[in-house]
Amino acid sequence: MTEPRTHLEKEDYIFRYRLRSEGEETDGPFYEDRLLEMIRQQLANLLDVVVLTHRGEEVKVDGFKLLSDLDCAYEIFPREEHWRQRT
Amino acid sequence: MRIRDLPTGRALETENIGAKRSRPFYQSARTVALFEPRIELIRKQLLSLLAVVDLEKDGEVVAVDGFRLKNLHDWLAPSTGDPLEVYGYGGSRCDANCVFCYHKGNPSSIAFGNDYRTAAEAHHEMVTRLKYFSPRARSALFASLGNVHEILTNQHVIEILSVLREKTERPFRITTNGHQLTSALIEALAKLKPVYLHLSLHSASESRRRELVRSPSAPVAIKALPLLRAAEIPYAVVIVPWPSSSVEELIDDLDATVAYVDAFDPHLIEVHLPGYSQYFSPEKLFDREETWSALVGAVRGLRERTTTPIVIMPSMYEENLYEERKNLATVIGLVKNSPAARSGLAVGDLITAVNGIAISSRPQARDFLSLLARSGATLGKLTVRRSGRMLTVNVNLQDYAYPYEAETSSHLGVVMMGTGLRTSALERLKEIIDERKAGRVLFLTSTLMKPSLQQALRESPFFGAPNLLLDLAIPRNRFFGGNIIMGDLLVVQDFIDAVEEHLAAGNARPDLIVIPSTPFGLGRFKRDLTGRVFLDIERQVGIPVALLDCDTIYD
Repeated sequence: MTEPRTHLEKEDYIFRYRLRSEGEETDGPFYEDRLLEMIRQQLANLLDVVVLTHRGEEVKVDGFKLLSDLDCAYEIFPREEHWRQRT
Repeated sequence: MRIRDLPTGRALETENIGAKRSRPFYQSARTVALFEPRIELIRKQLLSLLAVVDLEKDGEVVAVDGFRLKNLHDWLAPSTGDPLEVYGYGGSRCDANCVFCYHKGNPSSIAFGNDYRTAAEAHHEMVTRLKYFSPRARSALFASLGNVHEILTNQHVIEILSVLREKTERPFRITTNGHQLTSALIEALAKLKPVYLHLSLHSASESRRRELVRSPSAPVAIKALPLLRAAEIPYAVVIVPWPSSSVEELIDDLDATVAYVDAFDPHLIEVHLPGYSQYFSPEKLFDREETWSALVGAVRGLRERTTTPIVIMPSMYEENLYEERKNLATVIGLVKNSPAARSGLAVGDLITAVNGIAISSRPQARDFLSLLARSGATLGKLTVRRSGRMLTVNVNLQDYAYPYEAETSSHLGVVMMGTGLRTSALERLKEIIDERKAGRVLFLTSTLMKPSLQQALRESPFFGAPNLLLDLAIPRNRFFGGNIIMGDLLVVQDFIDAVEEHLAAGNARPDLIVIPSTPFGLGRFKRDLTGRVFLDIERQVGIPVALLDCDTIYD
């Protein structure tokens, strides 16, 4: 049985990345509710890398609901004019 | 000093590798966003989490400002097997300060990194990449755009290439300003063949070259040409005719440079039409059309008195200016001593068949010539039209000498006017339209590609049905600005702006937008040069968007 490879091998180069880059511009939060905004950002970030599928077919999503409140839908990718309206 | 065994069995000295650094080097995740966006994803997910929680260790809040990758085996990606995936990371510095350097002024939002770091740091990364580089398994560590400066400034590059040569027989293609090309370095490179250099010479005049590259080593590159020929290392000479003087002086210098270069048997001369972004200069520096058309005219004249093939980049500019029929397999140059040159093929010949298979476009000719070159056959037969007559030219595929090499050359030494437009792209376009059941389509093309595309659409049997409306529009290169007109340099926001302008001009809303894939062609994750995914276009404009697979107009 081989030992699980969980750590960087001793002499490997360390690929390090900054969390915040100098001069980086961000759109800022869209939703004032920070927990809601965290979910929106996480979904938006994931959907920049993956396409969701259902029964093998690609599914396009642009919003989400909290299971605790299925009456209220939120945008994942607010249009530019929506961002502008909030600022 | 420690010695570490590499997978090749060869030991590589790793002096100072792993030595304690006073300040660890952090890369920008943006430089890997095109190739490995999961690193950028992790960065953004961490930021979104840290907006609502603090991390702790032993009951104390821990402030974090970065992260590192754990097990590098988890970060292996499909590889083309190109050894540049290893030594390309040695170029963390540049020993020139070119007046036209396209890195200058670029905003941090562009995925090209400008993170200068120590040679030891770059060496350590190369050694690690070498360890994980497996041409046989076609895997390597993910790529990045972070280190695109002068590779030959890295003092360890020959050492790395030597070990790399034991892993792969593929050519080492090195782009260089030539400042390090001393006889000793050229001798070392010659032992590592196949090697092919792209030498950015710009001018053969010492004074002008000093002005352009602003380096005391400027003359070294000029003197390297006879040394490269003596060592039989094939090379292309790159010239950016930067209009710092009048167009007449510029063309005089181009003439003199090509005459000098031609005497030393380069494989190819590339004349890159000068361009600049708005970040390089917000002011207009020169009239693009006047300068470019004068340069193209000069190059066409030079071809008549030069034996080395000369290509213009982007070659479609020349084609649009001079050729009524686009996309033809016309020979514009022949690599000296290549099988094609020795067979009696001539500049101006139109290739109409390869080994009896009819050729209708330039990409098709390029494909068949490449297949023939790699086929292992000893003879090939080209049918050409010359001055209105059809001729058959027999090509001995084994008959060649420097500067042609089978390993580093392509198309048997035939040089044509760029990659061209594949007719299969139109077939695919029709398939996309049919799959989406679209009746009105907006195709976003470029200034350079539009004439070829229009010709292909007119002649295609797939288009022209009355129930299909296909509009063509050209997005402006607003992001890069300056005098840039390259479709491959368009970014997501340029496409969004183009669609909004198309609609604002009173055009009907299309059912589908089709965009060539090349602006999103670096990496596998379909991102533009700012790292933004193409899906953002559809999200913003609310119209379905499809990418059409295309070749970049540069080779």
